[in-house]
Amino acid sequence: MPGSVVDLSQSGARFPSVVIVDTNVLVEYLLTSFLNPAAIPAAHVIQFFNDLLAINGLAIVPPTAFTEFVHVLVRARYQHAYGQMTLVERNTRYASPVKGWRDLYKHDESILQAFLPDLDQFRQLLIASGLLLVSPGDLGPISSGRRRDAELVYLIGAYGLDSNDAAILLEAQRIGITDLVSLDVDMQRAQRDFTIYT
Amino acid sequence: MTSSQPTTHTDLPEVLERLVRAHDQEVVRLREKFGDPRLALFILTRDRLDRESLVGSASQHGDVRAGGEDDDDDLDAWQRR
Repeated sequence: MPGSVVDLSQSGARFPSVVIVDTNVLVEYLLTSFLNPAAIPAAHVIQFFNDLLAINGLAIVPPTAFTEFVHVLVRARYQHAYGQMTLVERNTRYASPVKGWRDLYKHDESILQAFLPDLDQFRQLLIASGLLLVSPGDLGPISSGRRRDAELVYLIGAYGLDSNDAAILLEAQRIGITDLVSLDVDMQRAQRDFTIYT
Repeated sequence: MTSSQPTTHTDLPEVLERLVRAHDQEVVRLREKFGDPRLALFILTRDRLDRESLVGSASQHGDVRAGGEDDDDDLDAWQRR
């Protein structure tokens, strides 16, 4: 079934009752936490979730999107910790100076371990918010009959998308849903087979 | 997104039907635990992260997916071993 690109900000846009959610939508949702309360209701991503609620819709997070979401949180936590360190601490606390979040990650796993309860709470709150987190074992078969590795490479070529984008589309196919909400314009390259809501 | 009503969908792919039933039960349990999930998520985000770090992390991550330059993946780590 051929797809298209749908701008959800346009009036009269058809809204899907079951939709795959890309990583950037989840992160954007978290970012609304820092908005002025008066601006939150107008935020595009909040409207998306409100519209989904209004039609009792289902938002599905494929495995790769959840993995990416966790990575963004871990990285943000390390960047936060790095930002709180003084210059002296950055230069003297560890065996060698830390110059950014990745150095800190390499030197100090305790920051990640201390963040684990929060990570799990983020996971639970996504579910409580109505998002269905799909595990790799829940995915259906690959319709083409190819192995996953071969299908991933095929989709990278077919859509001109990088690996994780293609992996999300592959997982969407295996779930049986071709409606995807994403803020990533690259994803629109898949509109031949997917309807991309943005 | 915070409806307490069970999700009801027709014509769901087979792979989803079982998942949705289990999901609905989990949503009810977690909403009893956390209350308003949106509010709880906002509070957790503000308590544990800051906007600049989250924006920086998300944008760098986006650059990786877009094939841009960033320091996200330590692709030369094997050379240092």
